Amino acid sequence: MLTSAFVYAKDKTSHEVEDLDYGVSLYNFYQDKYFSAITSLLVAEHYQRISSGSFYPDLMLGGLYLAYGLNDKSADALNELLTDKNVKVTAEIHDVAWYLLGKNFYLKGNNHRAIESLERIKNDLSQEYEEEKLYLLNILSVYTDNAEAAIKYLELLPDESKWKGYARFNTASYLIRSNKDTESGYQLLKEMSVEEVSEYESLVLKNRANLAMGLVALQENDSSSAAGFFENISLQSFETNKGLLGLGWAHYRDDNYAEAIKPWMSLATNQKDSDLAIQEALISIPYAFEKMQQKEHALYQYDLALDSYKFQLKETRDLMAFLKGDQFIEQLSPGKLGSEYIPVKYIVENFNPLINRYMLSLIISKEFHRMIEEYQQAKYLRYQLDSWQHGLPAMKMILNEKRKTHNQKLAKIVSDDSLKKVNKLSSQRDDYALKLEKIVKDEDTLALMTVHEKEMMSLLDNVKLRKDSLDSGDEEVAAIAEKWRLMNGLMKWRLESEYPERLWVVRKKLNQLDKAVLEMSQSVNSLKAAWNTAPEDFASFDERIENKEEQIIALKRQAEDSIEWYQSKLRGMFVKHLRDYRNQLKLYHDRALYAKARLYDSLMARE
Amino acid sequence: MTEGCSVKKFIYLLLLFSVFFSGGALAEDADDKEPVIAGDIEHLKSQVLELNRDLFVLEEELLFSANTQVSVFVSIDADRLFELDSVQLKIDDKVVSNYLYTEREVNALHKGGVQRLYIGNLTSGEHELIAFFTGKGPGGRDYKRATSKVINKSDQAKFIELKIVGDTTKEQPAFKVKVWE
Repeated sequence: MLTSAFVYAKDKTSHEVEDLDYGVSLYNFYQDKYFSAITSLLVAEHYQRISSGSFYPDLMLGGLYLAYGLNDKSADALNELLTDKNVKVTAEIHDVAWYLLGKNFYLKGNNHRAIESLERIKNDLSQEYEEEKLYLLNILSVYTDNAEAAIKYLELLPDESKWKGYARFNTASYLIRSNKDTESGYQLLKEMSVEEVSEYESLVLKNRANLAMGLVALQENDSSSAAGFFENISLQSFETNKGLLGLGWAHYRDDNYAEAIKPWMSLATNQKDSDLAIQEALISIPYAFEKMQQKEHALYQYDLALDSYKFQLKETRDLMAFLKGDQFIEQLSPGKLGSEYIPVKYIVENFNPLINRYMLSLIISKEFHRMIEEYQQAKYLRYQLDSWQHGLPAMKMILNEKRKTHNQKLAKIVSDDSLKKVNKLSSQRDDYALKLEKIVKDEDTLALMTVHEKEMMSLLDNVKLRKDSLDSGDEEVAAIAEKWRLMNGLMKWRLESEYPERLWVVRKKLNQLDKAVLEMSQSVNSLKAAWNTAPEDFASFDERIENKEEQIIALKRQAEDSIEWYQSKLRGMFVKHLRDYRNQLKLYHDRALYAKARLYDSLMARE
Repeated sequence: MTEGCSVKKFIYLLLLFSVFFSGGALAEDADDKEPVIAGDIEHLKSQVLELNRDLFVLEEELLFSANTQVSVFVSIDADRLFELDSVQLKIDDKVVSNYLYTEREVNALHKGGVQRLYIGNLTSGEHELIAFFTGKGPGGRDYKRATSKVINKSDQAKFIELKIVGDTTKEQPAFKVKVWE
């Protein structure tokens, strides 16, 4: 269910990132960190960071809320998506939303609305989810006592679907239980009981079908068929013990006590399990020996059974004391403090071994898994609230530091000097612009000379002055004058020919200066704005922090209450389970004791 | 007596898990399934989520204002050419993050998740970012590579993605830096 909640996650081998925030949410989701996945999506939504048009935050939130057990919020988000006229929803998204909504109603037990939603799906679901939809419709038809629909959806499920076996088993059980069509029900179970299967889940279903058929055959006094069904149950499965016990009873019904004892003996040697089937076998063995008139043997077996019951009663008494103590609660939360997700497997592995021995059926039950997951979630909420509560003083400190810095430094930054610098820079820029305009207008090539060229030009001017003061008739002076003419000409030619390029460079520099002036003005304006709004911002932060602090304290109290509630509920669940088991054990014990006394009396009377 | 009781008990047990045994969730009577406290807990979860969002927003606004904020993300699109062990991130030659990955985190990255590795503040202007990746490359060999990029921080928040991608022609991973605009 959980993975399908994020049904819209792209199913492809390549993962080119299309949206970072969507990816962060997925990263948490894939680690079963629903709280973090939802938070990152909500923060992204707040900042409007989910930009890609191909994602639908409401759909993602709907799926995540559903996975996190927030059914109402999930329904709200999905309804928002389905009814918002401004959001263009594709047929595929439409179907996924109805699918999630249907699943939501199913989980809440609102079967009719679940059917209604699932039936609104057209035909754009992927095959995997289409099959799950058919399975859900099948089971929902069972819950709403609609045999015709249940059979219809069962038939629509492809044979290769992983859901087919579950749907067949559930439909068969329903048809038998409700007396709607017992014959078809038995036929379905019968087919399942002889199927060749290789996958584990199919094998489990096959075993269960055989167990059910065996019990039905026993009920109908058809011991031979019952034995056949029980023998079909594979060894080392969850149904093995019940199958062996049933097999014994099938032989017993045929007065074949020696054969009945064999499977029971096999059960009795497997004392590490605490299955009630084993306890039943322990007391059934001497009973069968009695029937075979082997009374001494029966007496011995009663003693063995009594020893086992006494031992178990002692162990379960110790376990009961453990369950009522603090250590049990500690074992419910192993691992690091603040782990958002702790696999149930890890919790169970760290349990007191007696829990695993006597409460296996409880710790593999869905009820326990749901409860322990919700308990971990409640603990994580408290951890999160604790972290924020401890983090708030740091936030306050940072805010105070910022306020102090603002008062000390920002005033200097936006001082008159800074503003004067900006104004000076602006006026310099205007001067340059005017000069450039004049150069362009006058086509003043000399104005764009470099410093070196200016020196050269000044040198040439000096040479000219001195040359003009000399006798021009002199041959050497004439040579100098010619050289001057050439050099002066070269200089002017270069300046004129390079004028466009030099003008472009100067213009470019002016543009850069424009940009720098603009940026500086913006920075100063931004600083000025910050200066002006900062006190308000600080006050707003103060208010928000104060407000959150109050909320944290209030929510922490609620989190504590819910943790206590879960602890008491879990403890109650375990205690009840153990008490029931102990009551059954006591019953077996008393019956064994009574039978032993009776047998002893008869033996004494014989002697 | 024993016989009769045991058969009855079996049928009772069978009925308990028959119809409800399924790959999907159990459906029970709504009243049994939703004790009063369940609604309270749903409400509590919802309230803490909202508070958490508000506090993250508050923290981000207070500590990482948009004009200085820089966030660095890690993503993998390299099939199984590279199994990431750790990433070290340096900005302007200063180590700002060292991250060691768990198996679950690496799997989440391979499935298309994106990790926010670092969030911090940078002044406007140019900064050099260097990331060192260690892990197992093709053939399970130890692999250590670095990638760098000079980024220009403006007065807008900067989002940088460290991408581990698969170069299928060379059958080697490649490490890239993408700056999101």
